[in-house]
Amino acid sequence: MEEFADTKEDENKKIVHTYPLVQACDMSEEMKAETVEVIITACEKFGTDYFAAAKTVKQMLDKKYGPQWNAVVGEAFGIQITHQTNTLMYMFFGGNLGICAWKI
Amino acid sequence: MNQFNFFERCALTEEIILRDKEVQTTPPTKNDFCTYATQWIIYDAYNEDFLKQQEEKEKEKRDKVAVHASKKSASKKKKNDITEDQTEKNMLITAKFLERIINLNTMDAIAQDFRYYEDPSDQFRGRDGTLLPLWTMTYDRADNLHVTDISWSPDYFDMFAVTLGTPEGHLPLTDSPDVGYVCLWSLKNPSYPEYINQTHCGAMCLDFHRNHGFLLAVGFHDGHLAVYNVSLPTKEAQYMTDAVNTKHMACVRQVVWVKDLPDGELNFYSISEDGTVCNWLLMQSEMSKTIIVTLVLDIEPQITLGGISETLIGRGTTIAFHPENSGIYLVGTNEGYIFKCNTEWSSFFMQKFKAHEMSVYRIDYNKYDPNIYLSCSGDCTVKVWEDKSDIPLLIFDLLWSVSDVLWSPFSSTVFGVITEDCDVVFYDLDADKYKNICCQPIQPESQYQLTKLAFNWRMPVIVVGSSKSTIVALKMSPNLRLIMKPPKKGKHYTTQMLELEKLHKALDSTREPDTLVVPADDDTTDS
Repeated sequence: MEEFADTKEDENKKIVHTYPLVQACDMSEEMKAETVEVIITACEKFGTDYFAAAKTVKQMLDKKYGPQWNAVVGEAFGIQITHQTNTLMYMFFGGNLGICAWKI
Repeated sequence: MNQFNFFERCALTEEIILRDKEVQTTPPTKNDFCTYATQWIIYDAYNEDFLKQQEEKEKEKRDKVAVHASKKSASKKKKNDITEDQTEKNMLITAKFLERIINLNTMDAIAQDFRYYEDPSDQFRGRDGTLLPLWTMTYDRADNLHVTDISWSPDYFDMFAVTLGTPEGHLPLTDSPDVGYVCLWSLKNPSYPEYINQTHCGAMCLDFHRNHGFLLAVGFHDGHLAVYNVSLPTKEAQYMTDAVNTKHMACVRQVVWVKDLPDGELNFYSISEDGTVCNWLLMQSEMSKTIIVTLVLDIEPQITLGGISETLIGRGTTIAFHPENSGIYLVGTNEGYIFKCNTEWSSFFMQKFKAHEMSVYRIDYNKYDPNIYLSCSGDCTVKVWEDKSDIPLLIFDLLWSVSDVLWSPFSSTVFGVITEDCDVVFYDLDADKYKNICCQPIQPESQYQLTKLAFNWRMPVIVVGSSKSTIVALKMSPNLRLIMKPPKKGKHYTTQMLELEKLHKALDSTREPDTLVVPADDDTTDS
């Protein structure tokens, strides 16, 4: 019985998804691609330092699209926000990260 | 008021008045968003997405297989299409054949006249002749367009090409777009053109290549030029000018193919109302343009814009190449000037003179003596000129605007004229220098005007184009094409020599003597 469960776990373990997966987004196609790019670079650069990652995301987006941007990077969180239309990005990355960026 | 607190008026500054102004902009639209993320939600989302991707991949695979299968069946279908096309083609050929036979049957009388009828009354009429109307051809879909040019095919004596369009000066009708047509007509089928090609705007002029009878150069109203190969099934132009760089700035008025270059490259000349004569060389995939000459008028411009006076440029309307020396050509302009130019020298004109009071419509070299040429103009006159002279040898006043004039290819002294009030007039300088030998109205003048004339090079037939896209074919009676017969006895003269002599005899009396000869003094002879 245990063995059977182990083999099944092995099968499941084989698939570890780390690609960026956009959950909710109302940006234009161009902006969306660029924002995803920004988030990926930030998250890959800082690894587990989510604070630094969120800070970088915010700063880079501020530079690109003007203030004021907000970013949340974390493994588990709940948010309720009001954002400007066409500026919301909510995505998963690395298999265990949820990232949300928006502009007030 | 004392001098210490007195301020001069100019030292007083105005008090700045402050005003408040308020504007409220609409706030940027906002949305609410709420969510929460946990590890298992993230994990589930990834799995869901992965499954979706997997499914799509499989679907694509299945599609690929399906496409592969369908390709096979499609190729079968194509074969069917080809056979259908073939049958359609055969049908078209048969239908064309049928139409031709029916036309030949219904118009048998005209066809017989075309070949065999010679007006017997001509022998009692002195030198006067008549014209026998044969066919009238109309392309129904373009019946409001003008026939802007006619050119006989060099290969088939019963075929000619026609351009239809609205000529310069006539604005395109407001209720219809500016279109033009290039049509090939055959005398064997006067009911419908052999070849129709709709062009993007009014076609103005065309010319058949003399050696390659399938190549047709066409000039357009908007300055474009195109070369069509009428033997191909495609209606696309083989060569077309570039809309930005190469095309003429104004309406193209005449195109003329000239002798191929020594290395076999085809080339033609065009004259446009922007005052330039251009040479076009057909390369592998494009036409290369060379501006040969710009027709600069020597008149001082009367209007100056901001002190800058632009040089006046003649708006070219017609071009005629010297039949023997292909480097020399004559250009007529809208202002009534005739320029004699040379392809080698573009900086100066060999000759430049005011020939007419109004626009010159055609210049034509005599078929036998290239020193003699004709010009016609909107000022109702036709003038006969001799090379290197500014004074016309003969002037004919037609009382109506003359739209076209051409020397007859059959006789050295006969030329045909068409006027805007629908008369076709023939003159024979040998018979009468002041009176025409034939003046035949084609239509009541209110219906349309005549625009172009073309002599067939083999048969005694002329075609006349009108402003209602109608083309009328007319047969010249024997008196209009009298040829000098070589005498049976005595010295042997060729027809060529006799024709030349006839022309010179006719013109000699009009020429000014070269130098005044002082008559011999009677007294001196006495002593």
